[in-house]
Amino acid sequence: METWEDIQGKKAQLLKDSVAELDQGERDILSKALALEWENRNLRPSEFSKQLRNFIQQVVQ
Amino acid sequence: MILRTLVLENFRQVNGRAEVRFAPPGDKNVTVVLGQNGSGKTTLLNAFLWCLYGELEEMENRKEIVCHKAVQDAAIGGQVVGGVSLVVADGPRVYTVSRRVTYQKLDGGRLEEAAQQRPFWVDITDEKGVTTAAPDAIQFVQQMLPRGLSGFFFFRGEDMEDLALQEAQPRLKKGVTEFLNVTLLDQAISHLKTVGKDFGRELANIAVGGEKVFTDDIEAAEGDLEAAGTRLETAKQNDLALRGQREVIERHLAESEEPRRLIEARLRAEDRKASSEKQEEEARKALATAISRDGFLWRADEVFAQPLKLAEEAVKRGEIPTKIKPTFVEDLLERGDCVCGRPLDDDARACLLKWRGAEGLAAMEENVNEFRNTARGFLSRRGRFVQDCDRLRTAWAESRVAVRQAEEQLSAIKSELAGRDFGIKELDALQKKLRVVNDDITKASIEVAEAGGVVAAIEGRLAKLRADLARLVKDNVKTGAIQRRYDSTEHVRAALVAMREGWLAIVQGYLNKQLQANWQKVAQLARQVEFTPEFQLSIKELGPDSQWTTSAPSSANLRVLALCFVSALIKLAKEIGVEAKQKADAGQRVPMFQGGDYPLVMDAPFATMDKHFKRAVPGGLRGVVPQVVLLSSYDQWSGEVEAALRTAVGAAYVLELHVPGKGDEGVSIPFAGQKFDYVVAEPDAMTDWTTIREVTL
Repeated sequence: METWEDIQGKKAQLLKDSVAELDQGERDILSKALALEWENRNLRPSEFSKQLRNFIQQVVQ
Repeated sequence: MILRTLVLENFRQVNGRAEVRFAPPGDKNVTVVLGQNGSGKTTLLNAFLWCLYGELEEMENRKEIVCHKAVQDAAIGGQVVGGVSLVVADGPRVYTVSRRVTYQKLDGGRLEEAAQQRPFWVDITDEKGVTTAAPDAIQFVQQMLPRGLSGFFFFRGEDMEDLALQEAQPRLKKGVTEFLNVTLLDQAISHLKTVGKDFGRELANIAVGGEKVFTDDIEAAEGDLEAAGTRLETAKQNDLALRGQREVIERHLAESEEPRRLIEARLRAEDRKASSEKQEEEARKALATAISRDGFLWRADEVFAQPLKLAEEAVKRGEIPTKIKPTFVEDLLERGDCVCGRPLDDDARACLLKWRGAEGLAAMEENVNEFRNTARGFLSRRGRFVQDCDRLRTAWAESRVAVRQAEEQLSAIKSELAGRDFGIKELDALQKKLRVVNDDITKASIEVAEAGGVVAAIEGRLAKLRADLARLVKDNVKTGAIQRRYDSTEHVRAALVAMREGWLAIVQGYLNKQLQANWQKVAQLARQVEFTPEFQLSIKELGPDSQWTTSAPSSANLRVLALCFVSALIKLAKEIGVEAKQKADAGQRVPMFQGGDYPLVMDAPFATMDKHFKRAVPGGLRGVVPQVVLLSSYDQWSGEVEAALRTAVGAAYVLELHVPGKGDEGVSIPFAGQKFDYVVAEPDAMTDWTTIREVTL
């Protein structure tokens, strides 16, 4: 029977594979996107996109 | 979230204050609540949902929270409080969720909601015993058990099988998604899509010349893609809904095979009954006619016996026939001759005249003879009448026996058919509908394939346009930067989508294995069950060719399948809880749904199950989930279920239903060696109410 540790291992590999094709800037964008969602999880999401866009503009010139 | 106590106060059917203390996890992790239909089992189930979310499900008069009896007993101007408190444990912490509503009773018995300082709150007691109020009770409950997931832990048996139908696919996927806390991931994907579109628009606004042509084409293609995507989504939903319809119809038809045989037997028995009733009626009428015509002859043998006897005796004595006939005497007198040929002298004439005076005897003889003939005729007719009567009475009796036999047969068939009774015409209509639905599914599948083809073609066109545009703007300072931002946004979005789908697929595989293991433990029946990559539950049985084949499963199979899946989700919640705790201890982000141990609260889950499932499932189920609360009628509990769970019951209650009625209409039940009032007739009552009685184990 597959244990939860096996599942966690698969998840870790999945995360690694998913970001493998991203460059450093894109990885930063990914982290920022998730951080923004987490920080604002209890708020209305209307401003998130704007903050995200500004961040991407800074990272990708 | 292990249940500790549920406290109800004038909530719906329950009058006054009642407390249910649940059996904790362990060897005796089952809490049983027995109640008659209408005694408040669903009320109890709804007490959880109302307390946690302020909602009631599947109930009449959903706005009526407080017990009618409490309202009746309250004085005009007085207050009636209704409320529920739920105490749950999460490791060493204890949470008390409370919801209250207060009404004022006005003239005429009307209720008006009174202001409530704290209608809903959560108290948190930590491991040191310190209690504080949760700052945001609604959010707290959502983290403990999101509303969308509550249906997996608190459910009515009859709703359970819906989870196992194909059309439940969106619900299962959404449920698993909520379990895995991918909400944030979904939002991030959605926001990145918005940002990507913004970059696309910005690019279109500043593009000139050839770039402009591409951005215009891309914009047009995106519009086409959106429309095609909507078409594809609609087609998929339509296809899924139709498959769900087919599943329901096939199940009805499969479940109707046995009833169909019975229904046909019933129709034959009904025909036999009607024919026998007709024969009975005819025999009865014929008997009535015979009695009406010849009934007076019934005792004719007794009536005629004595006169006939007298007549026969007269014959025996030689009085009949009389010696001399009147005509013979008349002839002799007229001729003046004696019988010997000599002339009549005076003495002889006198003698003859004396004989003629005895003429009355001859008349009497005629009368007696006439009577004898008549009496014999009547007696003969009586004989025929008696024979007719015997024949008709036998026919009448036989036809009545036939009617009774047909009625007994009908009663047996009806009892066997209980709950599965429907008309043959309905079945024929269902078969017709199945043909129509199958045709519709074929059309819907074609539409899905076509719409999918259109989406793929537009996506291909769009990808080419974007690649061409990217090459074109590569060296342009302004548009090149926007294009790179767009590309990065899309790369990140694609990575998040891959993460989301990959994680869901991993967990789907995990749940599938758990489901199969649970099926072995719980159902103990050779079936191939699966939680498919499409997030649907499926069950196959071994066909005659030893191949697993999909056939319309019975309602009981679907229920057990759903129960096994929910048990797998409970295992998943436990694993998520362990992980969340590790993260919290390490100071990392904890997910919205924090998981942990969860109970299974079921209202009448075993109703449609056969003896095998009733023996296997209750015991198997309590072995794969930490805590079980079973709400059941006594009928469904006694027998196999009771035998399976007897040693696992850690707490038990009886819902004592009080109904208006005569004192001798009550019902009591035996439970745990004691006798409990189950239904109590209240001569003076005007409404029903329930009192919860604890069973001492």
